[in-house]
Amino acid sequence: MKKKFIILTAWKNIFRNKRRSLLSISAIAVAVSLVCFMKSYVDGLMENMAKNIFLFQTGHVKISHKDYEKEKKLMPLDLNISGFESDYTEIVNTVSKMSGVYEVLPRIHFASFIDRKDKLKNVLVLALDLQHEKSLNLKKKIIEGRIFEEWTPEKSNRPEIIICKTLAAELGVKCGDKVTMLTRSAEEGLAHMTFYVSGIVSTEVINIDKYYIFMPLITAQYFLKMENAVLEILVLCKTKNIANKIAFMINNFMNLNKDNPYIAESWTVQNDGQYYKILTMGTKIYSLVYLVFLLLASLVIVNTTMMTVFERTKEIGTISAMGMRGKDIILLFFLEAVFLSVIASFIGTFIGGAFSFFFSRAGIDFATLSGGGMDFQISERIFTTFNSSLLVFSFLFGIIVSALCSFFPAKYAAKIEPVIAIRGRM
Amino acid sequence: MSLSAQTAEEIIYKMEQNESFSSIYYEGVMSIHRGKNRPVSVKTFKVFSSGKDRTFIEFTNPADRGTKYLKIKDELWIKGPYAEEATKISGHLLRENMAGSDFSYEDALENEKLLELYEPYIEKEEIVNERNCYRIVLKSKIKNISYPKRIVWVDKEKFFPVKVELYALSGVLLKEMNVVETLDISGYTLPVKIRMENKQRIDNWTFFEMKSVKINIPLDSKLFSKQQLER
Repeated sequence: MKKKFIILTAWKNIFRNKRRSLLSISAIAVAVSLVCFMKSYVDGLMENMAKNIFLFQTGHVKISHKDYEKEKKLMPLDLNISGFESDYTEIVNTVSKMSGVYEVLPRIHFASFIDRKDKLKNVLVLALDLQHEKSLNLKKKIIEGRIFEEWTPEKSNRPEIIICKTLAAELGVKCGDKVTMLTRSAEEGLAHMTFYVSGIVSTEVINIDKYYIFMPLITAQYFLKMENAVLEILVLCKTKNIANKIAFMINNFMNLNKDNPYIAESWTVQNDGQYYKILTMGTKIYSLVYLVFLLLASLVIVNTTMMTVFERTKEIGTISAMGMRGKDIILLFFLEAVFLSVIASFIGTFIGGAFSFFFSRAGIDFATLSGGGMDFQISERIFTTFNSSLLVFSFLFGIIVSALCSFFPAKYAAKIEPVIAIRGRM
Repeated sequence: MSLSAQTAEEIIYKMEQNESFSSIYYEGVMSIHRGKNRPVSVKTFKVFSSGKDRTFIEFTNPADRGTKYLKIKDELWIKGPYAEEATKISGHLLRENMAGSDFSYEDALENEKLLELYEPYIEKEEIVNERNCYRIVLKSKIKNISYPKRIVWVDKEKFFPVKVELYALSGVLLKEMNVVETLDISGYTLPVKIRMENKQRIDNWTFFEMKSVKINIPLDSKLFSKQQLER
């Protein structure tokens, strides 16, 4: 009965000074909507970055030659994967059959020069086998022309490549044009060959579109003098959380061969865990930012609750003198703040959720937002995440943080001496 | 006090005169050793050279067949077997290893006279590779040079380089070249078997051999043109 009375009184109290309550509600609602939207944006950004890093750089697991990483700066293409008995496909086939493995991508990644009017321009080349590349889906990303055809010296067709749109614009290259490339081969001599541009592609990943050329794996193998070998095999798992387990399984399989020269590394440890650090640090930094947002808004709650306490000093004195205990006074003020934060969090989650939903469909033009100068694997358009856990998180986060902040002024109110309070002196 | 009746400049001049034929043709073989765990690769090629300014090289081993290089003065051009046009090799690419060997393009194609680039002095006389030699230290007079210091052991009798050490600016030894065999031809003493060792990588060395050497022969000047290269 007494509890019910306190709850009812707390509820009625929020209507006593409507302007003050409105101020508290709007402050918290703005903060919660910002938190909700920022979380969906940061989640979308991190998810996008992780997806691109996995797809172009690390896979969930990467198989490479044990010595390659040590000599990476020298680009030693001879430290490649040529398999144990026949060629690299024996590893690809075995890993593909492992449970938890979604895709196995044999690739050659190398730097090259393009000869344009006697000036050499640096480019990066990703040679891949389209039969394996389901996730990249290059065919769908062609914006002009068509996908390349595989070439070998025995075939009568011409060697073909596709160029990413920003690089193509920079080089002034169109479909059908020819470009001559110069690079260091697996034998460490110079490899020199002319390729025809069969298509222009947009991966929508800023720094891929800026520097990359795609080439059929078999063409690259002839160009680089590394027949039947690849530089790396990326493994995409059904979920990134099983990457360590899959890497362990692959290493176990490869170690069955005496003097195994290859190693499988999960993305969390590749490059001294650099990618893992980027992703976890990014998430932490952004989490801190939106926590600060909410704490700032919570200060408004503390402020308004304190104002209430000061305004109602005499009232507090009276109810204390009538026998209301300290913990009931705490509960009264605490509940008042909780009611305010529930209403505010609901409104904030609704507004933030609406924005998140909209941008999860329309996307945000990250290239324009960042000025296009980002050198990370981030897509031009970022899609915010929108799901029920985002809404639940924002709603509860708003209530909990705001309620906790109101606890201290409420406790202060409970400590006021009735006689002093009635006199109006504190 | 000089160790020799001849000055270092005179010795270097004589050594360079020993390579100053009007033209040369030879078939080259390079055995490239890339450490114990990597297979030895063998490259064969034909070289046509007119003076110090013009050289045409065509690779003939199966993996590189059709790869051609043309040097005209300071410019070096490459054309791969599947390239439709030649590309000029410039800048740091000139410091790359030629066909994966331990000779850089600069090593293989240098045409400047050593005395224009270096200040030489005789350090001592000593026996190297069973030959009596002058040990001459060359310090560069100019900046931005691949090897700011060289030590050359010049044969006292025939004035060919018996051994050469190539140093970086820091004083680190980068490469060591030893002449294994020479050929006396038309009054010239030509090193025809050379071992070039990369001192920065363990067990990395190239054995270079010149066969069917012909010197002072007439060569068609069309051979040294970009049009010929791109044919």
